[in-house]
Amino acid sequence: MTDNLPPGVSLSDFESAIGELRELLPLDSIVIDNPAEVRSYRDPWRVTPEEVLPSAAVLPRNVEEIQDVLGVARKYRIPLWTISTGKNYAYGGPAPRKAGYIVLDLKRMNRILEVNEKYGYAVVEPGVSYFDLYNYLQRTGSKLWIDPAAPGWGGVMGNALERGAGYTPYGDHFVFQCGMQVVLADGSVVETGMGALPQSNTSALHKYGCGPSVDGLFTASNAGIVTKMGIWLMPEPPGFKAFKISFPNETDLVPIMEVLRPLKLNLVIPNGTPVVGPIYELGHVATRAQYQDGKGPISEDALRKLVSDYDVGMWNVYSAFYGPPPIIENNWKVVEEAFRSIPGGKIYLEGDRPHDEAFKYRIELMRGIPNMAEYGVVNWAGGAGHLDFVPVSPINGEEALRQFYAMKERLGEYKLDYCGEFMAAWRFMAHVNLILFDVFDLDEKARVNECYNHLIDDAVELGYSEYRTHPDYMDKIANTYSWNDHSLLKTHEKIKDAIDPRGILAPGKSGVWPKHLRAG
Amino acid sequence: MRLALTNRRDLLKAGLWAGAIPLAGGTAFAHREPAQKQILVFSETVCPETEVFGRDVHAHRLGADPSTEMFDLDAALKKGVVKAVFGLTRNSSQFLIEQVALAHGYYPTFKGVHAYDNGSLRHEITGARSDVLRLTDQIQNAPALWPQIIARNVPVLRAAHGAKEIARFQTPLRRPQQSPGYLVSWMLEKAHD
Repeated sequence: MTDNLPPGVSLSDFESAIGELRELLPLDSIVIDNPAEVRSYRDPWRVTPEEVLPSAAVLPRNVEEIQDVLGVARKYRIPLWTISTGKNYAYGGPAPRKAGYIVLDLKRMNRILEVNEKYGYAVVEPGVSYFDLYNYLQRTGSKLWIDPAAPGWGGVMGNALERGAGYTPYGDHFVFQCGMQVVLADGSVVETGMGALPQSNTSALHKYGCGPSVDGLFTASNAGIVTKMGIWLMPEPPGFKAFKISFPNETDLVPIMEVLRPLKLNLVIPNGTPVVGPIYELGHVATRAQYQDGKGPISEDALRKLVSDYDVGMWNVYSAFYGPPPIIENNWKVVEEAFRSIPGGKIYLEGDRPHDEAFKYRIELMRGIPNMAEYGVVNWAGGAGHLDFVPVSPINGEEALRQFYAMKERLGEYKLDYCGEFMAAWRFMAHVNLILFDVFDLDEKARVNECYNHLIDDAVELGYSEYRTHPDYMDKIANTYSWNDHSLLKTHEKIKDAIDPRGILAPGKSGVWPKHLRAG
Repeated sequence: MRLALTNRRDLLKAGLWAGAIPLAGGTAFAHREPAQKQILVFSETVCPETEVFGRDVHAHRLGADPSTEMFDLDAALKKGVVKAVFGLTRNSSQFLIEQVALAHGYYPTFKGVHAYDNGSLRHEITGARSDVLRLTDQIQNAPALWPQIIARNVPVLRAAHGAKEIARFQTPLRRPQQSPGYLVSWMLEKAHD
């Protein structure tokens, strides 16, 4: 049946489990016999040598079928790796943490259960993508906007559960999530927050209810399977004004972040504000091969020519205003004046640069229109591989510049380009590094892996770490949160052992292993 | 799987050439019987080689944001009228289209990597043995015409579901000025067709 068994599961138990699943689920709900189909659950951009494939995948259509799968998994102690749309390729895509797990693929649970125009929210199942929700709202004439992640094929729920971000004022997706339905490992179903109140009409309006709030336990975690989620949607604003400001020098990053911080803290700028470096800015329309022969990193001269050819900055700031036009114009005056204090900046408004593809797709994102344009950045280095490294730190100019130089130098040591942006949100900045590589170049992939480990160590020395990561680095990142003898990780483990005593849900997710699989 | 028709004229005559049927909007597919399965072909607007290739096969041209074409492809594959999907594109477009097609049971059966470096073009072609040998021979004999050669071979490529042949070779060829420098040719087909 398979030579890729789940860890610790015998062939006979595995065969029994598959047999029982076949009795419980429709035939087309189990992927196991077609190797190509099983292989579609791989991570195509994995940089470590061995391929991690599941033993099988199951595709339930509803909560009852999930409960059936859980019953079999508990009986035979089979690890399940839950995915929604499985499109988060920079973080492993649909591939499980370890070979042999069964992927619990929820893409067939793709109903938009409710859109509430009056109160501005939607309730969705795991398989609903940003495109699905956007198209539904367009079709029904809704005046609500979504907040898509940069690639619009991602899942609304999955992205919020992984604490992903978008580009409107509703861009912190977990903050704008409200109310979950969760299936626990024992098969019981729980509604969180106000949803626990029978006949509640506020489950997608008030996040907490009375008593402890548990929603966070089900994000980036292996504590349960979220099958329904409320997400707040922004009413179409009466006015919208997007801008781009380009700065010519790398060191301009210091004043940019210093100007930005009070504007973010005071919510004068309402949405997440990316400060984008040149390769991130242009990688979807240009490639390194057009500027130099051979592998990376790109030379400083070639980088300057790239920037000059496309008339962009070494840093490019994007943001927008939303609301009544008089308020927009007042706020714009404040922001314009603040950024004009930095010499050399060029300010552009919508319509000023009709051939600027980056401005175009970013305006769409800030308007809540999903697209796939940013994906082209993976062509920069040839070979399309892409792995994200995203440490979090305060919005601070000196800190940003120090990180930029440190990472550029480290990446350069491994012959890799710096392709990054600083995303200022609330009170922090996420330093989004896209590590681009050729998936067919084994040597380059090995260098990426080594570099990634080095970047984690570098970040820890400076006092920061990633907020999410690829499965291959989950243990290492979890260990960076080590205060008081890893007390946070130990707390996660206690919770894991209590609510999933058989350890079947996504063992190793975010570095949290069930007792029987923990080292030591 | 072997496509019975061997040249574009025959395909056009038979109404089977994907480029003869506009993908945008997807309505053309609604009137087709499943028996008349087609090859869909994709190229890109952003580079000269794919434009040459696309003109030769009347491909659907992908722009900076390929999402509309992805939706149309999804709709076409759902209707079951597509035999194979072929393209000469940048990696990103190949990757996105492959993921759309995977959801409908289509898998890679042919792949070519075409990368320029220091005045030469490196080809790595993986597929059925006869296809790989023929393409290698034709490209080595006319290195500058490689996009046209691939276009001409689209109708005759065979699915390689099992063991595949790999050929790696270089030809002297400078990168055209606007070329991204790294392209992939690819074919996706139903695993059990």
